[in-house]
Amino acid sequence: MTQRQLIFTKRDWDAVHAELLRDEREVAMYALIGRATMDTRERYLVRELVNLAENDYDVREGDQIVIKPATVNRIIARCEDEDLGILLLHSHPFEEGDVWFSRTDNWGEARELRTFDACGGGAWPLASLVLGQRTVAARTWNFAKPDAPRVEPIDEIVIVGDHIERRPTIGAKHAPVNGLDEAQARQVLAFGEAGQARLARTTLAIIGAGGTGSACAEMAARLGVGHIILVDHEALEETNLSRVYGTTRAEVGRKKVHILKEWIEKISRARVTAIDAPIQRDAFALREADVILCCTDTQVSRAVCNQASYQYMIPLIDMGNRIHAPSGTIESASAQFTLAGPGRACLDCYGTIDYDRVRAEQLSREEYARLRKEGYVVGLDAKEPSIITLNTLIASHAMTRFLDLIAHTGGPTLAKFQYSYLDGELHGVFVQPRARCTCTHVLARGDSIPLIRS
Amino acid sequence: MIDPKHLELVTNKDLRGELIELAKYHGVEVLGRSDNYYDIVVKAYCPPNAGYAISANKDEGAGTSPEGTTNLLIRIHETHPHAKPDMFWVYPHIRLAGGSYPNAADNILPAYGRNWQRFSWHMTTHNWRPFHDTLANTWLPFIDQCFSKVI
Repeated sequence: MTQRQLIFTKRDWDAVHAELLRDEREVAMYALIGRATMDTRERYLVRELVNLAENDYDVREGDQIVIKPATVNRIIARCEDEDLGILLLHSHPFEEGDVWFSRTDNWGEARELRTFDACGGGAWPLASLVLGQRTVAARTWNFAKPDAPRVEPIDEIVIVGDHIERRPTIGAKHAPVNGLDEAQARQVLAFGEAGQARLARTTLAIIGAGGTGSACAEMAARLGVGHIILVDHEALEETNLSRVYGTTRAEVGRKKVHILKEWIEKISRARVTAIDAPIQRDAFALREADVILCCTDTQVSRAVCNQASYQYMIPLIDMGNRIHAPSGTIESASAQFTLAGPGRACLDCYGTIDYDRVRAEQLSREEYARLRKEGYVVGLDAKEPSIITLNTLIASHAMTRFLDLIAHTGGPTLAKFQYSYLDGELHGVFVQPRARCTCTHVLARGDSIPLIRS
Repeated sequence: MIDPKHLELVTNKDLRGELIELAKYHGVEVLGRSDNYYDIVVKAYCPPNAGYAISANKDEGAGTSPEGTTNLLIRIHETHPHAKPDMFWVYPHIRLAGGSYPNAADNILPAYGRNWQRFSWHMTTHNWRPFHDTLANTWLPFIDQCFSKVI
């Protein structure tokens, strides 16, 4: 069973409501969309809304709209320029109950979308949505057989903002969710069965199974997250035992993802997917996630997670800490997390990613050694100080933010949180998205552009 | 201009698009892939500064490019556009008008049957922006700018 989702930023979703329900007559609009196609899931990703002016309609009445052919041609030209598909949106403002597409909608959408399909050579994602006063219905269109288009319901609208809202559509099918687990009874007292169910339906990708990643994985499992994707390619070393959760001395030499997978399966009902590879080698795995946690200290993994977050409209929490102790005494120590993702500034907007270092991390061992000797690349070999308390502290703050994102527990909707260990100061930082940045370029493009190396 | 067969060597779609853009203004060849890099040559490159001279020494490639020009090798990492480009190579070699090698440009890379002269020149003052910084609008202008500075 393929589950279909239509994903909006909160800002766009609010704009759709404001536009489509602005008066008592039907209103139409368009959205440029990308798509991610996975084995059991399809995501339709809204990149840009296109409002119509009154003179774009031939007819706009209480129960009927006809859009001018010239307007449709203009929208097709946008799709061609951007190599993106189209979502047709319109309203039934008279509908107070369960909204659904009329027979006229069926006929009109089939005719209009067939034209889009022909212009896109069958490659563009095509979908439609109808909004009533209280409910929404949406569907996808496929014209592989032009005379018998295949229409499939979109199961939920996902709205990404300070929280992730998953709004069911009319006529949708839903995957069953495991029943409530007694193990989570005390936290259900805090955020309710609805919040717990949202956690159970969540897929969380954790990149890095080290000090912060393993702490996040342990918390996610105990919180009741339904599916955890772990990505790491390193083996457990003796020096990891001081801070990697779920590990024992007997397991030194085994891959950390496999140890952690076994541990999580012992302590929770979570389904665990372990990926024994650097994330840049298997970046497509990120598409499955509802939230990505970046818990590594490499710049290339940050760059990959950042791109995937916007390209597939998945919130990203990047975290890390730094201890400066040149002579065995802590001179400074800080920890931080950044919440990025659609509608927010990305890690590039914050200037978090060092592209000289990305290059250095990707060099072959021989070339790195040669260029390092010549002084042309930054040093990557140094072992940084690391303490479980500081790792767990930032993992804990980041997971609290994750919990609010999914279970709507409340709390500050910080985008960036910094903690200074020696002076005990906490502060939040806010940065506006940059106009010309990775995030604006790749937003919602889905599978239509490559994700690193793919 | 670029031979479509050369483009087929490039599986990175972003890079392929950039090469098509670059080829609107320059002759472009893809020599191959080595060491996780795509090796790309901009043909008949001419440093925009009369203070540099293309070598007349056959061992340094004289005669393998139209007179007064060189083959400019740029090595683009397979993770492009995420890995910031660094350094570039030429064949025939480029010397100062007085005959000596420019600063940080006397290292040799043997590749594809030639001894490429490496310019260990780095983009240090520019914050690399993936997808907005490209070969045509950022990296080649950077190389031009390096050569156009007073020697």
